[in-house]
Amino acid sequence: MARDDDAMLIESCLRGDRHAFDELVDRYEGPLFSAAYRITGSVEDAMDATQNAFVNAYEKLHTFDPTYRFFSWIYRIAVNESLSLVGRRKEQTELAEDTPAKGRGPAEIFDSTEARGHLKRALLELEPHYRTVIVLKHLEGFSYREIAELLEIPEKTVKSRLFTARQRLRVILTKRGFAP
Amino acid sequence: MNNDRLEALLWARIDGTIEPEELAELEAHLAEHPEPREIERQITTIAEELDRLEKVQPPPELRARIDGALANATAPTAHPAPTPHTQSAPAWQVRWLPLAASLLIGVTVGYLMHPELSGSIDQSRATGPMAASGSTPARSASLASSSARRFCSRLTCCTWNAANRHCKSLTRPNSRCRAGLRTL
Repeated sequence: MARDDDAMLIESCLRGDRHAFDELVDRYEGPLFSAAYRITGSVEDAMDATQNAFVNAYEKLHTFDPTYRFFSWIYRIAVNESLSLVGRRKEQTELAEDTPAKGRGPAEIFDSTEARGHLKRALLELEPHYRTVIVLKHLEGFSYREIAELLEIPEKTVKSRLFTARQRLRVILTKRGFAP
Repeated sequence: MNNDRLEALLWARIDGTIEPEELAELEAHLAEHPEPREIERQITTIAEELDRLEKVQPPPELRARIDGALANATAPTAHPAPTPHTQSAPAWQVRWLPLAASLLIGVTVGYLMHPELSGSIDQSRATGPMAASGSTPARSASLASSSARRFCSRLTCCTWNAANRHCKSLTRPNSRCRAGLRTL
């Protein structure tokens, strides 16, 4: 249903109705920002990545192949934007330091448990491509095949990358003295 | 069983992708060796905590930023999207279709050009576009069907509406038909 709706909105947009694209922003702003935030670990970078993803998708909408899901297409753009931003950033900002003031966006839902805090910091210690597969698998619940399509890598690579990412995560947590 | 294998099987069990024989192997190993229970506990906890990570809500100002950026963006052009899944026509179609089409057109034109073959036209009832334009039967190649208000050219077929002098195409749009009742 959403897929058909997306197709109609894209068609309208290509016919010159700019506001049709606003509906797509309404639908996917949240999931894109959430993934971008978990990959970059920074609210500001996540906002940049999300904004760039929408602008790039809009400007290249005529190249979108409607046989695929629009969400997968724009999600891939957002993930690539996030990875690109992380690559450009010299020093990774600590999640806690980048937490916005209370009452603004993500601050309200940052978890309070110590375990989760450790886990988030450990996630940020992983290399971006390892962090990305963890985010896609655990936060978004994508299958191996979907992750492979999103990242344009073989499914076998997804499995091995995810295995290494999880293994490293456990090692980091153990080294920090946090053995779950 | 080494640790890599153990971890791989533990994660496969959590993901639901473990094969029955692998599950049996894992359970047998855990039953015989209590030490890996600690690794099992750690992995289970990490998986649970990862799954509990909440999706982060975007800050309210993000939407305004996106809208502002889109307002300055280049509008997409309505080019047809690529269709990677289309298949090319079989070779025999490529070879014979042009010939078949030419033959069909030739037979149709020949048929329409000969009134004795295409049938006579009831001129007394032909009050539509052909009558108005004074077209010859051969030129208009009119095949007045059962209704006198239906006219056919060589290329199209339309229904004449005398009230608004409009000829509605029955087969495909034909600007000559609509605009130029004179040309039919």
